Amino acid sequence: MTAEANRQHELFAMPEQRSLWQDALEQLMRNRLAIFGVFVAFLLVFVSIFGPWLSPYDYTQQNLFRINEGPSLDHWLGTDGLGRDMLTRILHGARTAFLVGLIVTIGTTVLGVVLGAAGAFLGGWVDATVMRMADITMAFPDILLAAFISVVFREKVLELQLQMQEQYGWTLSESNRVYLDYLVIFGALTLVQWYGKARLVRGQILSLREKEFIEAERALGASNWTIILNHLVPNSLGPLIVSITVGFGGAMLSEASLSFLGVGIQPPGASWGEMISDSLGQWRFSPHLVLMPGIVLAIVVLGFNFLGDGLNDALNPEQRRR
Amino acid sequence: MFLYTVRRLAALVPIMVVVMLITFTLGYYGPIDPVRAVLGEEWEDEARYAEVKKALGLDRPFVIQFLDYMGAMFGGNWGQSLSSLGGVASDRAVGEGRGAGFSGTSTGVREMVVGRLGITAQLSFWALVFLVTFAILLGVLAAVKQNTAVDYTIVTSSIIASSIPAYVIGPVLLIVFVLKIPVFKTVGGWDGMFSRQAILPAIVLAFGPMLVIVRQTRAGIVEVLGKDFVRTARAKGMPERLVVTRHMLRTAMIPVLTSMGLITSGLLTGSLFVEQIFNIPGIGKLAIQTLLSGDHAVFMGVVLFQSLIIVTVNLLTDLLYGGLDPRVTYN
Repeated sequence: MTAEANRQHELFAMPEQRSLWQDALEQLMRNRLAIFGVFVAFLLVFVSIFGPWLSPYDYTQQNLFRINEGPSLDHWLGTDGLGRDMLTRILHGARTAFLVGLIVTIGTTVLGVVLGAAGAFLGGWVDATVMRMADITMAFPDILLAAFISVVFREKVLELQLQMQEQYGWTLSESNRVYLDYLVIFGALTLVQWYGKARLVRGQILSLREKEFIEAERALGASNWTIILNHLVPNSLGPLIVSITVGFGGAMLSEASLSFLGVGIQPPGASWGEMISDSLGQWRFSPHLVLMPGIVLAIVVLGFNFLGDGLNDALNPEQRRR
Repeated sequence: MFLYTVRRLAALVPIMVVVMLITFTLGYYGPIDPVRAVLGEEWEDEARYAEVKKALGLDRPFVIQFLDYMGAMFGGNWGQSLSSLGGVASDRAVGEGRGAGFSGTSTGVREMVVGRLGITAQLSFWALVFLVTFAILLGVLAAVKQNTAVDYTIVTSSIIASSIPAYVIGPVLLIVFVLKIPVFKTVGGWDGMFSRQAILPAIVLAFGPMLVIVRQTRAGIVEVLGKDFVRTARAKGMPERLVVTRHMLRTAMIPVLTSMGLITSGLLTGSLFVEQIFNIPGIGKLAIQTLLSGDHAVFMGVVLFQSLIIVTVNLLTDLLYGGLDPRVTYN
């Protein structure tokens, strides 16, 4: 090797290889609002796992001698109309919100990916059925449909549980039936919110299939599975991740909305929406009871929205909104 | 265009039929047994139970009942409220103290829905007035000051305004403008469109669709900023204000109009919460009240009516898009 050849080698060296993911991570780290979102998400996970151990009270424990108190050393955020510690209930509300976000997101993602991919690959009547199902779900006012489903199925689920208990003695808890509310909410929200991801996945696959690089792969003799695993999946992952993040926040918000309307998590279960409607009657006398769960809910929803926006800018640079 | 319109209208019918089927099935298997609700204590009397069941037509097979319901809906008869049948369900209405007083006299579902619709429509009208004035102004400002601090502030605060649900913004505004700075003395209830009570709810309702309009206006203006027709308008000495309003806004409004569907569903969803917070007897309050009290016939009426609004607005948007943008053709 001569010095000349070395120099030539350096001149024509490939620039350092950078994957989309490295680029995206760097872009995300530069976005302060998205970092705020990441922080909120981590805090939510932490609180929903360790919440009950962070506070000396139980979220259902009442103290009728100390109702509607303001913040004090004993009760950092005061107490509600039944003398329950606000901070504890807010911490437990985080668990509710996170659980609903997680399960509903898993549900809608699985349903959406399976139905969307099935529609795109199989075409014909399968595709037509999936798309009509999406059209019909979209035609409904979503909160009202979810509310209706949860009201109708709460009764059925309760009946089923009682029968199971009678026949087999099977029950999770004798006194606390909040977990049934959770089941109903998971189902109702999944049924109402699946279509966004199905349409997204279907659209991604259909548009990618027409791209030249897929055609080139096919001409080179790549099998269907190679194309799916090496090209379709990585290329549709970006938009899907954004949709999952935004959907996570959306599911938590929907749960709070349903609980606010009185058809979601029922007392004594703790949900931020239920806490707001619970204290709304006393906004003139103890405004902090309405404000605290409201502010927490607002921060979490904002965090996920900022994170979703940041991820969108980072992962889908071609469709950046600003 | 005409053929396209007809075809789209025809496609709405099966969708509405399935929407009706789903709603009806939920109501049919719902937790409230209308016969029991009508009879009250008497329901354990088997003869009486069977008699009322037959009188209400509930002893017929599901399919027949559904076809009957569907036929009546298309014919304009949306059924009867349970409370009109002498039921006890109406007594169970949650929030009686707050909800009482405007249950109205009519008991037909259509009359109830249409009667309440006026109030929601008036509320939405004010919300739209706020939106058109402020959101479009902010969108234009953000676009003209593109990529500056002004732009970022406007866009970020619109994201904040639209992310926070109405049931958080509502109480916050109540606490600020009633308790802390007493601008409003009486809040809650409905006293006509031009009363002071209508201001706060309308503002809260306007927050939801804010981001859509700001974003679309901004995007629309940014798109035309460097266009030839704008430069020509400036070159002939037109004042900047007129360049923006006459030339830019007219083109930029197309994307805003195409998000009409999002705005409508935002207002419909928002009114659920705003009416709940401010105790306004609109269509959203009616829905929640009847859902909680088990008066499913009325609730189903509201759901179907809102579905009809949603699909109609979506269709209108598509048609309007073709009408406004000559490049779009339908074949």
